[in-house]
Amino acid sequence: MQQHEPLRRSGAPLLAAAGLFVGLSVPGHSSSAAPQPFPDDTLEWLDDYQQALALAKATGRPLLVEFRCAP
Amino acid sequence: MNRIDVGLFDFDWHHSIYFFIVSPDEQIYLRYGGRDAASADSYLDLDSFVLALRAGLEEHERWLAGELPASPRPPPFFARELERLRVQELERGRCVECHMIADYRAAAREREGTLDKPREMFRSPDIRDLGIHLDVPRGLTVERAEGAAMAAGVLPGDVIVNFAGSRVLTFGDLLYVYDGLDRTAVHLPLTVERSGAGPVDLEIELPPQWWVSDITYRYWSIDPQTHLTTAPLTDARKRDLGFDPESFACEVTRVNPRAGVLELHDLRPGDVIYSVDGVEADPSVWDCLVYLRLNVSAGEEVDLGVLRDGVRTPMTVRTHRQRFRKLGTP
Repeated sequence: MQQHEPLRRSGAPLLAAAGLFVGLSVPGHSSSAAPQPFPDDTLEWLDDYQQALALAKATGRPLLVEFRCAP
Repeated sequence: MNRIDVGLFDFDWHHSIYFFIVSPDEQIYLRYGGRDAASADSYLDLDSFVLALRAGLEEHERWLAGELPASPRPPPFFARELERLRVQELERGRCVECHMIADYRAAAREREGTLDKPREMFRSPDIRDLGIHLDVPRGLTVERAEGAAMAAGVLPGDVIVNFAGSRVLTFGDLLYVYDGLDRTAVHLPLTVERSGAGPVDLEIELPPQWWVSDITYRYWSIDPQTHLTTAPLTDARKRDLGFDPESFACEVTRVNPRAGVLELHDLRPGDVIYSVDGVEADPSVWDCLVYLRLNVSAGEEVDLGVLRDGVRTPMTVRTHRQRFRKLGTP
């Protein structure tokens, strides 16, 4: 496997939304909490697409949207 | 899934995992996903995923700089618009899995008489049938070219950058474009980046039935199951048996035991099927089973002309409509 450099661009880390019935979340994340900007070197999963989209609009970040059939 | 615009996030819903990288105004930068019949992850690996993420971030920088032309948004479509899915799944609070979108929508179109089976049932054709073998960890880099791709001039090491008229950044992009190609197409233009030569425009002559994909892994209620495996006869064998070389006569090579359990038919390996409901040829297909799948509704009976041990033996065969766990009647 290749060694990968960190995936970072100036001010534009990815947001992520799981678009199916189960979403991943980082420890401590609550889907009912108000969305907060994430540190530049983390990828946080949201399971609510509209919430993720609102956050993308507010922060100018791109979205990584995942659809998957396994929980 | 209820609030997701699946008109925008359209993909082959039988793929087990699929990603989009999207701008804050919902421009799709790229897709990551895709599979073949052999495995759900034939085209997925960490290296190619990282390449896709990098490409997505580069696209985002172009978007931020106002350099990315806006693509027209497809008509919106929501799962709730499929009435049976809404009643049987959403209103009961059940999860809507990806493949259910595909099957409910296809079944609705079948009832309406608008189902285009070559386009909608035989999805995601295999690019290996064109002779394109990718070096998967390196994204769209060609590892090996054979057949139609080799005849078109595709070389190992080429990087595919445009496929069927669309810019492609990932295998997911490529497969989505290929899947959307008109099934009557006979040519496929592509552009490759070739080391030392820059972009090179090529054109693949599409082989017959290029769009016929192996759909055995799919959850399709619209597929009339016979639990047979067949192989088309060679022209020489057709002539030997007295059939027109243009016919779609084929030989049964395997019978799944489920055919017996479901009491569908009594076909055996070695039987030759030479007609389906009296039809022996169709210029768009060259395998009797493909013709059957396109022209018979799941669950219907069909009359087959069968040559068994040299004797023409008409048979009426029942087809099976699949039902799936968690699904009502799509």
